[in-house]
Amino acid sequence: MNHCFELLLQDSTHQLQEGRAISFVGRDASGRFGIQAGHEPFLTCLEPGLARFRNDGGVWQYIAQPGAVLRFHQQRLQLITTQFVVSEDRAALLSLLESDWQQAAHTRQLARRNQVQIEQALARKLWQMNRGGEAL
Amino acid sequence: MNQQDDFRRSVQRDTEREQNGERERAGLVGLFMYGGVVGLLLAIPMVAGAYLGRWLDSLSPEFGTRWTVSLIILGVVAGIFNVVWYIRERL
Repeated sequence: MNHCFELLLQDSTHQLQEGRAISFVGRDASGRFGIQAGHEPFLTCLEPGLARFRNDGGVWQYIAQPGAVLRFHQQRLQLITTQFVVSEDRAALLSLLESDWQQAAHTRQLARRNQVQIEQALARKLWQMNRGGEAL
Repeated sequence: MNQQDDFRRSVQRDTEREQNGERERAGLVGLFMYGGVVGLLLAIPMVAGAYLGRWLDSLSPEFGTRWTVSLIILGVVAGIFNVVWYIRERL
């Protein structure tokens, strides 16, 4: 019997696939639980915080997530959330999150600036058209 | 922002929990290892002394346990010295 299962982590911007996961440990409202290959179909909501999984190399990887839907079906575990970061080093997760948030804030700021520039350019064009008596 | 703070706190809390759990497990294993080494340091000179003493006693024609008892006592003293030395090194 195959002792590995497929793990798929998805958020709104990216996804991560681990083809040979051995076990997964997470926490839902009922407490901490573990999943291994051959588990019966399972659906739950993970509590915010850390979850972890181990691949067949024996390395534990930690997942920071703000709450997620977890589904295990046919040797495939799907974790769907709004944001996640993964690292072998637990201590690095927070700094990874911070850099993600900074990146997102930077992107938002750029988008806002672009939007303002487009609005200004549009207003200028309309004003010029209005002065020149041009038709739209 | 509030969601980010909640998320950050959850990650911090779980990280600390994991670290504390690992430390406790390491502490238990460490305690067994430490106890085992101390026991061996104490027992080995005693047992060695007892065997050596018995062999020396068997060499003399008359029946006696002088060497056995003496070397057991010497083994106990050596074991205690060993343990004291080991504990001092570890502290």
